[in-house]
Amino acid sequence: MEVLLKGVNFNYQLGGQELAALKDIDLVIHPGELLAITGEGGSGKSTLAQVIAGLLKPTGGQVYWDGQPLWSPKGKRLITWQGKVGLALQQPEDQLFAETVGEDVAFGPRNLGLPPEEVEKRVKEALKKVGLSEEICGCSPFILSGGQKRRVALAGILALDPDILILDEPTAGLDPGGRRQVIHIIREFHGRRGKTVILISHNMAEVSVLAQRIIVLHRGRIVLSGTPADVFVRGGQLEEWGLLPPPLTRVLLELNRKGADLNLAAFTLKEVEEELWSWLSGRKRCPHLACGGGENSFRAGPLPAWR
Amino acid sequence: MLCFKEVSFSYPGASRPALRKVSLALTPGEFVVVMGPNGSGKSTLTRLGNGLLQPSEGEVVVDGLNTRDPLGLPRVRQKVGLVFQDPDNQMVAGTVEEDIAFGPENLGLPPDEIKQRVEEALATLGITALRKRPPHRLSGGQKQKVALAGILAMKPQYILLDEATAMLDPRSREEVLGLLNFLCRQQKIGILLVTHLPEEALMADRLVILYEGTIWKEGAPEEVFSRPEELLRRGLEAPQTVLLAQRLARRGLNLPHRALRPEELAQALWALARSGP
Repeated sequence: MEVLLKGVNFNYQLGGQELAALKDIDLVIHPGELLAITGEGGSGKSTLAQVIAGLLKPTGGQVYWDGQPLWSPKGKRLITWQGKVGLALQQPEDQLFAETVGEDVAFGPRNLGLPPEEVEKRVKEALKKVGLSEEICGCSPFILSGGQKRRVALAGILALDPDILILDEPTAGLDPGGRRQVIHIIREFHGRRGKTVILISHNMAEVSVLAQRIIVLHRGRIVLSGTPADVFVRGGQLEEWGLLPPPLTRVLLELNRKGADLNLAAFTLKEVEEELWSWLSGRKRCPHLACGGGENSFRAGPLPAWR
Repeated sequence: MLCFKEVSFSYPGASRPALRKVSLALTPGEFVVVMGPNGSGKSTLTRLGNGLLQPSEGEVVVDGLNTRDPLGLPRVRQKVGLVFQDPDNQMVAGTVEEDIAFGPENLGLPPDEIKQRVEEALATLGITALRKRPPHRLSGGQKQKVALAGILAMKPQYILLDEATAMLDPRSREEVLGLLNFLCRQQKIGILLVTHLPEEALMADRLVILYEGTIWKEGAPEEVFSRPEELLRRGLEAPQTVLLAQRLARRGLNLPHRALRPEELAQALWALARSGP
């Protein structure tokens, strides 16, 4: 499914005042894309997610699902497709409510009006996708660990078999093991043909390894759209947008501030290591470096910019 | 000193104890970070620290006061402040200043003293402008600052934080961590910070890793992070900057042995680059 936003505005009413959360958003989300939306707290990320999902009606502009307008001029929802878009809000485990895990996961597909055997099949599949065994079906969700609860909540959304999965801060508050599991679930979902993922996160390190395209929101506007490398080369500008670059990018940025000319498009551990190594090797052949890999490993780089 | 002495704890009905014979000490002015996978006993440890839970075995002693002694418990609660992950659960009053005053009022202090403590706490955390605001309308970072201010107004000797930064955006997290560092170094408050984020361990004097209810490793961050593959096997990660420094050191770079934050690593690399011919 393709989603198109044209000239979208969204204003909140707050104590009689209008507060603009989204301003003039033009955005196409292609089928099969893994898109990340990032920006500081209050930049409009979560509002944008809800507009894309059709939960909030824009106060201006239009949303199109597969080319069809989603809202009538009078504000009526025109497309009633159910389950096409799955939205996992922040800390989705807070919304678990049923007495057993099985019932909680079955809630969505049952509401789609699917026959009981199909519901059961969907529940089994969804639990498998999130790496939970079927035996957990009879358990109360409230005895599970935080990471398990989050996976149950995600299973409830996957059981809808959505075309688009929107996740708002899906790994916040999880331990590294739990984070890896959620990332695996996202990758697995996206690996299936035509499935779109929209990831909302302020964790730039995570966004950079997962997303094909990153959108940066600042005060309700899209200020940048590009690949992770496109985003990181902006360097210090990220900080002006209220974003904290990941730790390795901060090392490169700090060195550039001191006068180095490192390529900020390097952001994985391996890339940053190589970038720093060739920068150091290129600028001098000092004894500290000599035991590395012999003469041949030194790149003849430009002379240092420092005085 | 806040002392955990061979402390064990089991939740009713649990198949295994949440903590087993854990001994740990926190001195005023010391910054200790506790990490461990989910279910390793981290939260239980913080709750034992101010008598919210009582150990099944062993004891917790705060500046000579045993948390088992009901008469000493109010003093223990005043000395040991607790901050949780979700600040919403900690807000009690209609405005920020009333919320901060709640603790000192319960200590039965005179109104002038309460007023002064609230002023100081607001100023220290830089939230004086928020004083008349309803806490539930604040951002996550602001709420955690209010929670911290409420604890500061009790004039604690120790603050224990249970994943108190987990739900904050990176900016607010940096601010809260900066404040903790200030309270620890300037006001000599002992800080025990439970976290999943390895980057937060870089500011610690000591890093403690809990695993299945026992202390698996304890030491300076650079020691604990020196074997990243062992950490990984226990579901934990070393900070990216530490991994980068280890890789560069393996290629022969003479970097400081300390575990470095991004700015410190950049400084060390810059010094290396300039020290050449």
